Amino acid sequence: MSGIENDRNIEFLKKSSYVQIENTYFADPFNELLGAALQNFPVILYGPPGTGKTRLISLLIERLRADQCLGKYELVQFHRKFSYEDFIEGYVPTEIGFSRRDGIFKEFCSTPSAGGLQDVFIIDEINRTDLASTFGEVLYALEDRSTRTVKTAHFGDEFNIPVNLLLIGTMNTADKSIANIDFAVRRRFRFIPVFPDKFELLTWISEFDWQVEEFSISDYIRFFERTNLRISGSKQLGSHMQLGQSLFVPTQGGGAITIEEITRNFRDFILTQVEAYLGFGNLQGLATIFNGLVAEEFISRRQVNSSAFSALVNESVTDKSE
Amino acid sequence: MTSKNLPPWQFEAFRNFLSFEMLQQACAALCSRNGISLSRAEKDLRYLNDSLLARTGREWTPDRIPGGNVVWQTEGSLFRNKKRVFTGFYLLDPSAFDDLGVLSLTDFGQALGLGLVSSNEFYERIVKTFEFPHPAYRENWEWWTGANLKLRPLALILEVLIYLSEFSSEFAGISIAEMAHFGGATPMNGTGPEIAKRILESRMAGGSFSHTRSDALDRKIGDMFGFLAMTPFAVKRGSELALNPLRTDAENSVNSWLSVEAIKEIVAPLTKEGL
Repeated sequence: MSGIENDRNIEFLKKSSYVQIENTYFADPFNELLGAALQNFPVILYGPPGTGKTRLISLLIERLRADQCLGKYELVQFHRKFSYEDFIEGYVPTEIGFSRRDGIFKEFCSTPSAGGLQDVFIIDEINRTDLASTFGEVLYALEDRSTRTVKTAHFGDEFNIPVNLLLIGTMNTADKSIANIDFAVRRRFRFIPVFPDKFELLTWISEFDWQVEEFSISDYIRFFERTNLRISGSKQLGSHMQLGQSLFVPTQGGGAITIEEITRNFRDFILTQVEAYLGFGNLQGLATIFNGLVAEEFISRRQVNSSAFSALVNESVTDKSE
Repeated sequence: MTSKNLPPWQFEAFRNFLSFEMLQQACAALCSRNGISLSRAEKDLRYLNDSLLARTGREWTPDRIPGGNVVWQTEGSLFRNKKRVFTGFYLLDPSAFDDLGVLSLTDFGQALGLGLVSSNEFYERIVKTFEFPHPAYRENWEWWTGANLKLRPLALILEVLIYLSEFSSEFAGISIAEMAHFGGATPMNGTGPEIAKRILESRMAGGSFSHTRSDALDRKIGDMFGFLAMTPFAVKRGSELALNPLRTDAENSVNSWLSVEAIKEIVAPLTKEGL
């Protein structure tokens, strides 16, 4: 590629970068979440898988509990079969016919905690259902909650969302179904980005007994960074397909991390995830993100040996170009 | 300077396709096909076109496909026709088209498609980042980098409007001919305030000047006026463009009087760390 073409590409990449800008606004997602929680403003935590979105919610629950302001909380996970009938209300079949049943969210809203306590309703994978249809009139009731009530679609009940209810959703940006969220839903939520965090990885992995002699924890962190840099710079992938820190932590070892285990983790979680993004059997794609040796070994035999993995990690340390 | 060696201004003419609402939905459709091969995926592209039509209510392939048995032709394909709508606004990577690679939404394109970018943010960002030399337009890039010059034309037009409105509301709008005549050779012709000053001087002297309309410049400025009139910053008044005195914030359903200071911040030179 000529110099001028290279300059053009770099300039285009710079102008089209987005996450970089977001991250300057949202350097600390937990504080952002806490800020939204203080105002009971509905939020959606979004980012690539494994970046700790659910963990942030657990931290928030712990914090509210420690501050003695947590009322009750409930977690649901949306999926394709989750519907308005499950969320708000509907008729369910019984042995003798049908009976009325309130959905999980309507039920939750019907008994708000008193005494200044805050109730938290969490929707994991919020983008995995048709939101406009599942939410129904909830969208209207989310605003001006102290005054708004709305009649429900099936039973005509008066429904309102308590002012002390915090609604939190999580969504995975590597999942293409996220694009299906419509404007009405979007504008009622605050979107907080949660992207891969090397400090979180460092803190987490330092809790284990590191028995790997081939490379250090800091080398491994550098490998994590370089892999994500390459994914972000890849035309086919991009920053929303980065790998979260949780994919880099082998949790099967009962406290100790060995070279065999961390290599197995790399093969079973990291390589397979990137291969799924790139298309199965995409040798060239995998070689670009990792290296040729690892890619070939994995594609041809579905294996990676620990010396090849160690060499890959050590490459990230010696290669200062990225 | 003759029109032949005027700095080239590029801007897409498909005005109806450039609004936030249109491009957000289009990028949402592209998100679901990101990564498909551009060289072989006729079926995928047809699916994509159906998806674009369903989401935006508009046909994205050119209206020159005959009926009968012919349902697709390369000449009139989606990206051949509308590629620059996306690459010009930094939503699709242009190099993927050069080497027949895969459909590659940029970070910004993905974020827009995923609904992470608000309407105001979208327009602010385009005004801020649309710059010559433009990396999506090869000839434009070569001319402007060769001349070692830079220009953000959308920001420049707004800057001229700001200075005119500060002088007098009576003189606040500009015509395409004025912008082309007094600002077309910019940046050799000076900054926004300098162009505004020349426009004012011309108006106070009777407002007549001899201008030869050029397709390459006047038409592009007209297209930019059309785009700016879709943003919250400007409105069309007849054939003139003026600052938008009443700003509607659709997201919060409120109207507010325009803060010129806010627009000044948008058109301010980018910082080193900026975009």
